[in-house]
Amino acid sequence: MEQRQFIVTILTISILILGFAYANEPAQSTPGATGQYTPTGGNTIGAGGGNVTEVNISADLSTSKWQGYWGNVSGSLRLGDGSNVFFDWSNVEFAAVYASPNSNPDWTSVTAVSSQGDKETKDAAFGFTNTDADSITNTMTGSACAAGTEISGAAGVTPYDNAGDPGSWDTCIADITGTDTTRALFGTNIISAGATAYNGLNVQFQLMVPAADGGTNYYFFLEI
Amino acid sequence: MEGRTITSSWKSNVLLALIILTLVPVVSAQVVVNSGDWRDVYSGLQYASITDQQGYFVTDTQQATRILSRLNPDEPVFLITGNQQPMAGFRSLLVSRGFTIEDLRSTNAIDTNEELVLRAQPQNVIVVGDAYGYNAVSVGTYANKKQAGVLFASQRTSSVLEEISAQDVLVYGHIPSFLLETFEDQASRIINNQDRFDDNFALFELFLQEYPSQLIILANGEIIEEQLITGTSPTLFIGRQTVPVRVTDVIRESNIQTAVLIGNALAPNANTIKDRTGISIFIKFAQGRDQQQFALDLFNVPVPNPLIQVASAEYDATRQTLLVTYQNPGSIATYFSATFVGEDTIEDARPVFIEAGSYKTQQYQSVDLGEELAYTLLYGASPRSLDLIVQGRVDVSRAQIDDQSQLRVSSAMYDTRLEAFVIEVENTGPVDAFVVVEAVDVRVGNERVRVGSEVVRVPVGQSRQVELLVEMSERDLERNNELSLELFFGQRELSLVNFARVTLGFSVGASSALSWTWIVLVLFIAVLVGWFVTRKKR
Repeated sequence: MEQRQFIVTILTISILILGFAYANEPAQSTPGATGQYTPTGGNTIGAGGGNVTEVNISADLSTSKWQGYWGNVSGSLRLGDGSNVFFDWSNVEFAAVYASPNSNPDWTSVTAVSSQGDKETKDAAFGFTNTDADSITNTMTGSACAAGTEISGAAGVTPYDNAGDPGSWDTCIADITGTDTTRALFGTNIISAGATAYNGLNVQFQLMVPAADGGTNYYFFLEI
Repeated sequence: MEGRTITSSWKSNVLLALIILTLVPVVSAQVVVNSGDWRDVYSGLQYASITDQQGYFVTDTQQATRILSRLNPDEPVFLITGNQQPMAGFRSLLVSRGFTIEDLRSTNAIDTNEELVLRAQPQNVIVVGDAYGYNAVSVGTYANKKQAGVLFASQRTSSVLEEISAQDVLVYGHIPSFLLETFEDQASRIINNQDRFDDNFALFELFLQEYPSQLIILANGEIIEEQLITGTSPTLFIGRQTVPVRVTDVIRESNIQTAVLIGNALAPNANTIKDRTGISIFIKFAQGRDQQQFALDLFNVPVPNPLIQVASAEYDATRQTLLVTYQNPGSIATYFSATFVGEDTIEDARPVFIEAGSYKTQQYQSVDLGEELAYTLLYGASPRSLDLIVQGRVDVSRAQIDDQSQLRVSSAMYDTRLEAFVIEVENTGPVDAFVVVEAVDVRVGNERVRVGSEVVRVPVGQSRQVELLVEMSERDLERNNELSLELFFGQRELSLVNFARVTLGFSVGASSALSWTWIVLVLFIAVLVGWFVTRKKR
């Protein structure tokens, strides 16, 4: 009896352990296209922020209707295995910086805003009263403003430098087609060697843009 | 009687209306995704784009608060919340600000993707794989323009397509054959060139044929950004570290004049494109609000990460041959093309395959180029996508190669349990040998693939089984009548200087999951335990 119990116990344990061993056979990976696209983990990855660390832009408040952005666009980009630098972003020449509330502007249909009527339309888009002293109409009073290859012959404004004199950059206004109700585009040329901004710093660009009540989200673009 | 009938009808109508109301979700006009899974983010934005809603995704706590300022307080929020959330408590924050919320809890990204497509009921559908993100990114703006839903391939794809009565189904990029077989018949068109660039170029051309555009978006399928899904221009991949020549060819042939690069990581590549083509390029690089500037809202997607390095270099003066051994330390197979510069320049004629974790020795007929060589390796995940680069220098040792290894392939079978070809290799030479086996042109689904093994040591006079992992369906096995093998072998692990090509038939079977070692070990443990149990009972 004891012998039979011994054998039954051994068999039971063997089956259990063998079953466990079989169940724990590791799954095989699944090669994909051309046998090499083997997924190497789950699909959950950390949310990534953007990478603007090599591009410095800063903002400052001028009036309740206007925001100023200034900064540098030079920098280097390190890629590769640490000891090698294959790309140096400082070799990239930037022509102009643009800002638009539209995240997806149609760059093939940019038209300069120059007439009084067009400026008043832009004031309305931002919720400004065009007769206010700091409206777009009464601020962007310059003419023949040009930025990069996209804007020319536009109305514009020249923000001051730290001495209170007209600074080195013009901010030009243009119109783009797009889905946003605020179809404005603002641009200024980049001065690679730098110049003095309103705060006395030597920077490569200075740009002022209108902001609607409650804030306006702007997207920034560099033209190379 | 009439009155009762009317009452009954009225009650029925009210009941019906109530049922309909409970079935119809709250009509939202803005979608927010708070999930760490890129597929949730993609599905949410894609759903928003084809249902004419504004889409947002949370990347971190600070950015989440900025999203709040952009949401319309008068509209409900359709909130998709994943298992891992970039901001915990985001829902509570929305509630505290008075937003009406319709919730979708995403516990499985594929389920969520399918549910959103079922909700949107698009007539057009694009099916992509979800192993990596680049195919989904590649089709993003095309799907928006076409108002197509994007489905991640699964076992349920066929039924989802059937349920929404999809009229136009585009199957895009690599999809495992066992999945593809389940809905292939429902496809109106398949784009799969076994190369993410070729696929992207094909879709790019299709986009321009259907929706002519002068503006294009430049990206590389490694991030999700709003414009890559809600944009209305075709997206063109431009490479990560180098710009494949074909990219500039595609731009020239399409007569495009203007491009927008999303994010600044690829600025050098964009600059190269500008130099080569002269088109205007704008880099979307930041955003600003309330006197502050921020990074763009970006979400990283999984990307293949091929790796390659030079393991050693030897020069055999007798044979006037430079032998360079490469190692793939990564987890996916890689293709590479090497260039060595010394007194002369030598290079690979065509991209070379190297399996994950494996070695490969290339032999170059050459004069002695010196004791140290500068090299450049272009590499990538497929032979036509060498968009990565590594440069360095390697010492060249002197050697006289006298390799006596000899091998023979005894048999081949496909093991359905291992999901691998198992090749029996016999050492018929006088020395131990090392071997890498590769199977070429294996038909898997609609693709022809190359799969390789790791380095396997075969002692003198013995045989070893070499495994080539590749998942094959029954249909795939029927399609492959025989196996074409290439063997790279040698008596030194880092110098596989011999090459042989073999074609042979193979059997199909399933190996036992249990090895003899396991069985003996388990029996031994069982005897011990049994002995203890019976002894205790006595």
